[in-house]
Amino acid sequence: MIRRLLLFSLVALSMDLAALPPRPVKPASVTTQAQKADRWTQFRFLIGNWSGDGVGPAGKGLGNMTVETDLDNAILRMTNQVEFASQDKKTLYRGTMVVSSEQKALFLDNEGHVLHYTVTATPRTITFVSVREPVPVLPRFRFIYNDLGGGKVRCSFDVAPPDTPNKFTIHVTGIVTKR
Amino acid sequence: MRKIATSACFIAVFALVLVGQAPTKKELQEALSPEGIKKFQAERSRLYQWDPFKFLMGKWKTDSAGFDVALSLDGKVLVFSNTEPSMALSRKGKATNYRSLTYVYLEGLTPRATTYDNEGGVFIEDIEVGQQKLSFVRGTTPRVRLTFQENKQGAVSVAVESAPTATAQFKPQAAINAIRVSQ
Repeated sequence: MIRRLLLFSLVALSMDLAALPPRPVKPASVTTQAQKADRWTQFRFLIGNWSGDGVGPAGKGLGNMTVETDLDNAILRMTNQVEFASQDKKTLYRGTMVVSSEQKALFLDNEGHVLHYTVTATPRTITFVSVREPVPVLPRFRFIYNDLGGGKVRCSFDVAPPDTPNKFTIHVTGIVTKR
Repeated sequence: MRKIATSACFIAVFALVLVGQAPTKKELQEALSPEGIKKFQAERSRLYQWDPFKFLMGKWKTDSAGFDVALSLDGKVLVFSNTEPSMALSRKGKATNYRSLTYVYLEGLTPRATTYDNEGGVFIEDIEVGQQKLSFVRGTTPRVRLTFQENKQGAVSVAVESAPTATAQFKPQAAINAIRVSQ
């Protein structure tokens, strides 16, 4: 799973979880279209179609990813597909990340994983951190995306072991290119 | 996958503790044993057949709009795409261009849903399963319950109910009829 998430991060690099703008003061029903449009300002660099490859300890992957807004800019969605080749088999990995305006994201994949993330954004950097489990068994994951300009983004995939869930170490980094 | 299964077992155990039903040592050992995990995985495979949801698969038309229900991510997720404004109920003054997306998935062995709408709403929903009947219940107040029930093949009714507080009874807000357009 870690390997695939890693490849996912490299290829999709754009898991641009929403650096959601501050919560609107007004109810959503009266939020103007202009306000909605601004919601994803800090994520704009990730919106679009991406392709790339990644290499991990157990193999390598080639894939593509689409990052787009939906529901009148209420959500940001990233979908990706990676052809993953390990030493003994090939698999097709698919995942979807949905970012809401509450700086939360839901990640689902074709292996049945369901992961909840919190999202923070600063200029040119978006960070997703998986929510701590009540009883930590799985590692925590963190994706960091840095806009390098020119349609390139550096991504980092970090992992923290269950017993020290705040001590992340870099698992893999890479650069991806917008198509 | 074993880690996921183990994690789910831990979470189930944790949930029992929260409701005051601390598992015995024997129960814990059984849940985390290879056999326990195998059982867990078999049950997940069964749940991924989505049997209680099958009557809703396809594209549906209501009087004013419609919705469709389709598998995604190789069958691991169900996606409800809705444009029926009467299903909103999250805000006052329903927009005629209301749209929502609901992702249904398994957390451990529990079907759960997250709904997003174009009014900025995000709702985590529990799912109650009946005979050709499904209810999506939002835990936040005001609580909302959407119940899909098959009346006859190719026709479902959707009951929209709300309750102002966590303990209040649900009251009907809207009733919608839908007919299947395609599978």
